Amino acid sequence: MTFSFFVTDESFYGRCHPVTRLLLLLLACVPPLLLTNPVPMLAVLAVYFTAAVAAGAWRGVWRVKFFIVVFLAVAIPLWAFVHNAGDTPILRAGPFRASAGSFLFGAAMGLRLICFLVAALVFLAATRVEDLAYGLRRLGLPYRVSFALSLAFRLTPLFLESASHIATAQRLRGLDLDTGSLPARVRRYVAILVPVLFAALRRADQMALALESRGFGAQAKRTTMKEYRVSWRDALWPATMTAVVAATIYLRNTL
Amino acid sequence: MKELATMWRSTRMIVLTALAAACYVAALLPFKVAVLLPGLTEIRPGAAIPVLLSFLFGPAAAFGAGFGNVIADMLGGMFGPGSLAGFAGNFLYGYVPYVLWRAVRGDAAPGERGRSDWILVALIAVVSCVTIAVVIGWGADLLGLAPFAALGNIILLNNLAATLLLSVPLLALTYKRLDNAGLTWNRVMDGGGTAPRFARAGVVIVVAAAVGGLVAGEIISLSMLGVDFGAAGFAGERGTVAIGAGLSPFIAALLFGCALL
Repeated sequence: MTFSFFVTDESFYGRCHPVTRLLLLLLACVPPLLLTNPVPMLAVLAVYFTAAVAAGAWRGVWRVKFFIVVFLAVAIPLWAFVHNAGDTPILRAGPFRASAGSFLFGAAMGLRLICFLVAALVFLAATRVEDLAYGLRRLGLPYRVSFALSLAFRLTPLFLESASHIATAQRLRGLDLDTGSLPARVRRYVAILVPVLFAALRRADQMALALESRGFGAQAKRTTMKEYRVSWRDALWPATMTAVVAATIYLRNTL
Repeated sequence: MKELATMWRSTRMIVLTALAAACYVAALLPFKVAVLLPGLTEIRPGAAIPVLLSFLFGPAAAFGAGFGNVIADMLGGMFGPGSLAGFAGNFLYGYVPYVLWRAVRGDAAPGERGRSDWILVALIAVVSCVTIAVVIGWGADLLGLAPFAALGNIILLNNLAATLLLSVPLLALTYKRLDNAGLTWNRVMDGGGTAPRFARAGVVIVVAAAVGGLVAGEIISLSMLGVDFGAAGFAGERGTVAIGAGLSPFIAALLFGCALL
């Protein structure tokens, strides 16, 4: 099982400086937040899907297709019945009323979440953990904090693997996680969580010693293996994204 | 509060931060498919982890919970502006138990005074659950992602169930062994320094701000907007402005209370 969405840093997005990539991600969140009408939201989503294909993120999008379906399937009825759009109700269920306007609002909210999801996948498809840490450092995050963040990314698959092994071992010893009430089942997870935690802490202690023995934090100024250069792309793509934001503001005010 | 800065001088605390984050991600990821509010929350037994680790690792658990939530959003396909509110809420969720326990019981181990200690641990866990519900509910409502009445209450119930069912028994099982191994925050950071000067005032402000914020959020979203009970908090921009402005003093008080601790 793979936990990374990274595909390549040779795409139009991956060739940008890490700080530019973070800026583009931030800008990409603006248009969906400005819109509450599904028609312009669909246009924004089309732009993001095009970017996903160009950045090689379409496989990642396919991997999370479940969320895309759920976002729409849950958001539309949820918002349709609880959002007060101010027009005539067409459906009633107890105290809840749904109108054509509230259905459209629900569709816009579902599409908004999909826009965020696709934008994040484009970022992740072109950005390695070290690029993210470097970008955050350039934005002023202290080295030790960015190191903790990148270390957490790397430890996650190890933890999941270790948890899976421990769960299998406990099941072989007779641990039953599939029967009984929900609280009873949740309590049985203690038999998995405790060994997982202790195994992790053993590793943490060794890791801290290994880091210090290699001079972690000995020098205030850090060097990096990879050199990042600013190029014309770092002006072009933020300018393009700013144009998308401006077009969204125009659409919001005219529709 | 200064330990939030000084902890970064200790390599062991940095590793514990990463470990807390990875632990939280590992507990959250398998349940990302059990969606409750699309793009925002799901069934979260993993919510027990930050409270447990807060008693064990102190400030490292606060950063670990914040980072862990963001990483889980990234790997689980839920990354977006809501992750900002998620970071802030989870950071406080992992920070509040540690500061409240330290303010009330100092460097003492949980369980040292028997049953009364465990009741205190449970009460502190409840306050931290209220804190995360208020902060994320407020942030998500301000960003127009979900109404306070829906998200705030779901987070509160979700986290209460996980912490009361799992955090407290796990803490009882693990604290002594980890303390003996020198891996609890007061061992790593030599007792964490002197007790805060305004500890009592800080505790009162944090508890009052968290509970007050939840009550105010419910009142604003349930009655003052004049919408049906079922439509609580879903009053569009008017509701968002009311929640945003109405809860701001409580969020500010919560941060002020934490600063005193």
